[in-house]
Amino acid sequence: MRPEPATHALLRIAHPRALADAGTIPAWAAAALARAPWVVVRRARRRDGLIPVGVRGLKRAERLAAWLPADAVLECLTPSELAARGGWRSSARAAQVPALAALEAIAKLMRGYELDWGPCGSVGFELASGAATATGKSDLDLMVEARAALPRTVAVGLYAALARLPVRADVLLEGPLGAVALAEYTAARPPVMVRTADGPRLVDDPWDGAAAAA
Amino acid sequence: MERLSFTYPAREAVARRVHVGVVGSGDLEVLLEPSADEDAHVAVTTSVEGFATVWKHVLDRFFTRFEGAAAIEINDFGATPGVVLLRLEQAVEALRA
Repeated sequence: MRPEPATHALLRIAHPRALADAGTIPAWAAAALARAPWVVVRRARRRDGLIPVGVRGLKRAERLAAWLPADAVLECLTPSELAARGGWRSSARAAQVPALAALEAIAKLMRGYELDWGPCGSVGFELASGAATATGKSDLDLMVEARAALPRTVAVGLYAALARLPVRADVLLEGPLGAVALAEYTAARPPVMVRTADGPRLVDDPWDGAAAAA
Repeated sequence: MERLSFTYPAREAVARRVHVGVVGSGDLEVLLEPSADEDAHVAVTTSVEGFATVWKHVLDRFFTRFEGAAAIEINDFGATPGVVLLRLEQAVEALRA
C-alpha cells in the first residue's frame, strides 16, 4: 500500500467504468479514457472515501471532475517519480514538443537548487501514459515540493532561470497550506493566493503556521 | 482564445489602477482602472472557449457587491470560478488599500 495519492498524481484505471460516477460522464471523457486510461488527482477533499480526479480531453474546455474508488487505482505516478524516470530522454516527440525538450535543462536546474520537482499538466500526462498529449504550443506546468519556506533568493533565481528557457514554465510551489505560483511569490507583495483542497485563499505568508499544520 | 465583454451599471467612481493575479495555468490577471464612462466594463480574454454563461454568472455575482465604475481587463488561463472571484475581490481590496 502507498499513502493517499496527492494532487497532480496520475492514476491508471482499468476502464472508464472504474469511475464512481461512470454512468454520467460525457462521451468525450469516455473516448479520452479509452485512448489513455489515466486520470489526474484534483486538489479537493475526498468524498465518501472517493478520490477526486480529473479527466483530460483533447480540447482545453474538455476537463471533467470525477470521483474514483481507491481500489480502482492500478498504478500511481507522481510528478517527482516522472522526473526521476526521465522519460523525456527516450521520447521521440521531444523534437516536435519544446516543452518535452526543455525538461533536461529543467532537471539540471532543479538539481542545482536541490529541489524535489516534477512535470504536471499535458507533459506529465504524456510521460505517465505514453499517449501524445502535449503539443508544440504547450506550456510546461511544473510542481516543486516546498514543505518548508522556499528562500526568496532561491525563488527569484529559479524564476529568472526558467524565464530564459525557450518554453513558458509555470511552477506551483507545493507548501503545507497548498500551492502558490512561483511567479506570484517572486513578484507580488502579499497577499498571495494559495490553492487549497477547500478552494483558493489569500494569505500573507504561505508558510506561516506550517509547523502547526504539518 | 475567446474574448467576452460585459457591462454593468455603477454607482461610484474608481480612483486608481490596480493589477492583481498572475499569468499562469489555472490563474488569471485582473487589471482594474477607472472607466471612461459611468458604467463598469469587463473585457475577458480566456484560453478556454465555450464558458460565456459561467463567466456571466461569476461576474453577475461579483457586481452584486461591487458598484465601482471600473474598466476591468481579465486575462484568464483556465482559472476556476472560485479563483476568478477571489482575484476580483483581491483587486477591490487593493483599490481600497
